[in-house]
Amino acid sequence: MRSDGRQKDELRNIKLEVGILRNAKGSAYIEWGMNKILVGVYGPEEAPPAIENLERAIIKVEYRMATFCSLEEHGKYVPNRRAVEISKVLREALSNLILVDRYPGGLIEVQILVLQAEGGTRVASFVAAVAALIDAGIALRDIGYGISAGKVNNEIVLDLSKEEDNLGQGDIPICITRKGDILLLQLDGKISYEELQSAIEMVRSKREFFENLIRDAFTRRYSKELSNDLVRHI
Amino acid sequence: MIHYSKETFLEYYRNYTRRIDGRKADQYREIAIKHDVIKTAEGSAIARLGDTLVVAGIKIEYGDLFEDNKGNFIVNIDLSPIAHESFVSGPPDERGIELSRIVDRGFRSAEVLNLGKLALEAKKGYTVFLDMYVIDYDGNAVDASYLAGMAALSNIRIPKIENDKLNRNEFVQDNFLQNHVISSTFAKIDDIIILDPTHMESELADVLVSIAVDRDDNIVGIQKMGNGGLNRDELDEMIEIALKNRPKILNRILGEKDVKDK
Repeated sequence: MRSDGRQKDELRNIKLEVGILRNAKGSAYIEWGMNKILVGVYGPEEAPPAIENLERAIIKVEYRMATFCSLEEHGKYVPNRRAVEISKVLREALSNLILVDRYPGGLIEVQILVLQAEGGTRVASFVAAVAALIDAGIALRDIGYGISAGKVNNEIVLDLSKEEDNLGQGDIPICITRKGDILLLQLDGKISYEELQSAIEMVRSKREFFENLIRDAFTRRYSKELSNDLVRHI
Repeated sequence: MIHYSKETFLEYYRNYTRRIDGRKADQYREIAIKHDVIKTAEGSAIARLGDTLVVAGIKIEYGDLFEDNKGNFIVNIDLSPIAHESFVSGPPDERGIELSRIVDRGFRSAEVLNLGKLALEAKKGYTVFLDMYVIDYDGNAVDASYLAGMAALSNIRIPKIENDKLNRNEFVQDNFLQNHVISSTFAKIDDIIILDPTHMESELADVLVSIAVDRDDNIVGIQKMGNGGLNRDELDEMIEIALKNRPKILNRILGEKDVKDK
């Protein structure tokens, strides 16, 4: 049993809504435990000549944290080193999913804003970004999802809360495709090879859950007469 | 966004006395507000004005004061790149800086917070960071930011100080809010004055004027923007509308703790 009573492969409550912003081409809002994250996608538009690639689209990903998103002190206005690193690994993971050669000379921009954080924001951002890219009509080669596995009390568990992350022996954020290709993998801690294998297997076992989560969000989006209002969902 | 020219706007208005989106000249768009939406903040709100959306959150710190016997109060508004294709990441441009400063001055002039109470010693006390993120943009970020900021301030929680440190789980039982303020932004398109312009309407405007008023009908902030000029009658008309709207808008901010459907 875990500190919040969850089973070892039990995720926190997750709520996903798509199409909640008017200006962004595609958007998604995810609540995952206490995390509240907003993603907007712009593009494909023409990339500026300085960065354009005539063979494929350029993907830009920016992960930012609101200054009030943490229970601790007021955050900085400029992205810190952690945010810069997360932007990079998320960009690489999303670039793998997007069929970039469909958009030669194009630029696709993914903007992520963490409004409230409680551990696991990078994988939650990834799931919301995938949904926002689909909402924007960007061609993907597969659906991807992510979960942070971890080692707590000598046991591999899924979806570490902030508390478990602080007290745990290891944190392993993993983003994969439905087929099982690993797109994002990090480890902060010390684990055995067997434990890593079991973490990846546990993440793979949640494939159907995320397929349903994303599908249900789109079903709601297109069955509603009223526009999707963030003020109602947040 | 629907694109139209100034001529189209004027012709439509002269024929129907309505704007392209169907509003009368002195009509706000739909306002929706929800309080206390960010549990990690010490006060928060989300406000929607038409399709302009702003999230406001407060963080409290404890430390040195800039001015003796006065708590620090810092207002910052971010025109987030998520909100509009013309907003870019990085240091704020002049639009973002102007917006932050307009709202900062309004809250400060209205003395919305009792800064004296936020000072615990002559040189030591609380800092209130009121930060806002514009996350969707269809014009008039000024009024939307006032709505979100005022709503967040209306549920501000000041943590207790224990052993010279903040205890973010315990809050001071006292009222730090002492005034309320709202803003009305007008656009002048040719000789027509409209309230709460959309992004398209502000693109056509010769002049934009934001007027902040407090709950006692004091004028606590004015900003004229744009290259065009303004005559006395036009200014009078704007101030009259701003004062007339004040009770209704304040009720929206303070009275309704939940969002109502359209």
